[in-house]
Amino acid sequence: MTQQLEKLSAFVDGEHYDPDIAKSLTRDPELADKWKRYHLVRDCIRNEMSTDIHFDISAEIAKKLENELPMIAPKLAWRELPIVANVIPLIKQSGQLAVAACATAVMIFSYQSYNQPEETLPFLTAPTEFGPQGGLAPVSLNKSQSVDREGMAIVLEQQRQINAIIEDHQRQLKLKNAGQNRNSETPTAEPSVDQAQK
Amino acid sequence: MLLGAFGFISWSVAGPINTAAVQSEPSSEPSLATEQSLQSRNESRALRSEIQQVIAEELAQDVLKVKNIFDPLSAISWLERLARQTSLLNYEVSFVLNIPGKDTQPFLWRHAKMDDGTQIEQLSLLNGPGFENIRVNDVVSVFQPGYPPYSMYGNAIDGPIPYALLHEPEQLQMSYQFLLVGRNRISGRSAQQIRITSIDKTRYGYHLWLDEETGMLLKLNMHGLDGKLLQQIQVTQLKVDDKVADVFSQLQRDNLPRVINVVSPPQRKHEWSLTFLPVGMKPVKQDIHQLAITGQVAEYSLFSDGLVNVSVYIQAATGVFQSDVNLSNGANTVHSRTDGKVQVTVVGDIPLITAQLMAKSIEVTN
Repeated sequence: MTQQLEKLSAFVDGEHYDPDIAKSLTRDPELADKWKRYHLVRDCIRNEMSTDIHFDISAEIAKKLENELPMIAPKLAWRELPIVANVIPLIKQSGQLAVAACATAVMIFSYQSYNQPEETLPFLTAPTEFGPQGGLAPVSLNKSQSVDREGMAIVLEQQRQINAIIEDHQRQLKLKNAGQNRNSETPTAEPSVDQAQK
Repeated sequence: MLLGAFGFISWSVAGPINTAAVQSEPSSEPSLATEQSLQSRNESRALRSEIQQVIAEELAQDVLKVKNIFDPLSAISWLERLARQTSLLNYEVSFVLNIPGKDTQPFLWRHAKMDDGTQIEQLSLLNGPGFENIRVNDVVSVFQPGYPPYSMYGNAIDGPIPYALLHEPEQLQMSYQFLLVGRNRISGRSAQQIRITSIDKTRYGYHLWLDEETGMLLKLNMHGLDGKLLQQIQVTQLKVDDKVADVFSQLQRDNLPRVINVVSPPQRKHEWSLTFLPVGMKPVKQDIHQLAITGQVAEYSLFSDGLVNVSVYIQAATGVFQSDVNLSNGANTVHSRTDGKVQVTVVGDIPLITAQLMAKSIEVTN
């Protein structure tokens, strides 16, 4: 089977012509499915995907073919003699070959980079700096497994207290203008501070 | 494109005339003469400008009983004109607030004096659920998502433009110096640029651009000590028009939320004081209150120089903080330090170095 797939891949790439594989493609639905997938993958990688993908049009085509008049095969020209036919596509498609090879390389590379194991950093117990104000990042559950729970609690508590102070600061500013006006009707704010200081 | 080019040409043509007019007049002359001589030379703008000038003049004399002594060669005079015009004119201003690294926020700001003399001001945030502020004379109603609407007494809406800049510019002279930098074109209008720097270089600096014709704010930049842009307010549309009052005529004043009484904790004298305060900063509030989130009790002081506000919190140390906390996000700074017994936290729109100096300078008084 693996050999079959390899042959199929070569066939798709125009690298190898084998009448057997063409025959088995028509018989083996699994292989046909693979053939379709290979083409899809190639289109994807080359960014040639059309926006509307009809995944299964083979049944429709088969139906149409049934109604189609039988075609009479034309006489073979010299180009279509088995040996010559094998060589010509090879020359023609040597450019495409390079592209396909590149695509394979990209696939392998991206697979490797996507599937690298996640790095686990040792957690800092008491960082001196926090993230941006008000933008406390939620701690992901996955990471907390490797985290010292006590250190975590301290950091959370620090963030909570700092946030409380920032929130209170904003609230005091909101009330500042209101306070000024109330005090312009009654005693003013600044003298009351001054009085308290005396 | 064509329009833009046209605007630029008309501006640059008007430019030299303006400057010439301003320079030919001695600085002590009342500005009316300057304005009029300018207008007589510039016919296209004369009519509109004159009407506005007359209206402004009349209102200034009738309402405030203050003679318009606008001196275009004095920066503080420009700021006083700004404060005067924002409370006198009927206008609709669209502006955006931009903080580098954050989303730009668009605002709509309207102000009108109604026929019966009431002043109505509106400030809305136009993105998302936003918020809405409406001020009718000295009652500010606040509508914001997540909270029931409320009203409270206040003579200004708490918005991105600092209160003192629009209302009490003369107060800022204690802590800042003003400098006329030059003329420029902002939002399609010719504008006067003014630089504001703190006298002792402990606070952020500002650049602002004021419309020459109406005196309104067109642009306000806040810069860090290293000159980096921290915050920017840019007016995108300025409409000075008495029709703005029509918008407010539909406002049902009886339907505004009830005024809540804000009970502030009694003012008290703390047993500590800051030996270092930036020049011109004064205590505004001193009290003891609980923080809403954690319920911790803190001794609290609010300091202000008009443009920026700084809060100082003193709490008993909880042992949670082992080292100093230095947090800076754009203009906002949080600095917290502890000696094992007491936790001192300074919060405000000041450079970190100033916050650290303030926190360090705490001394116990008798």
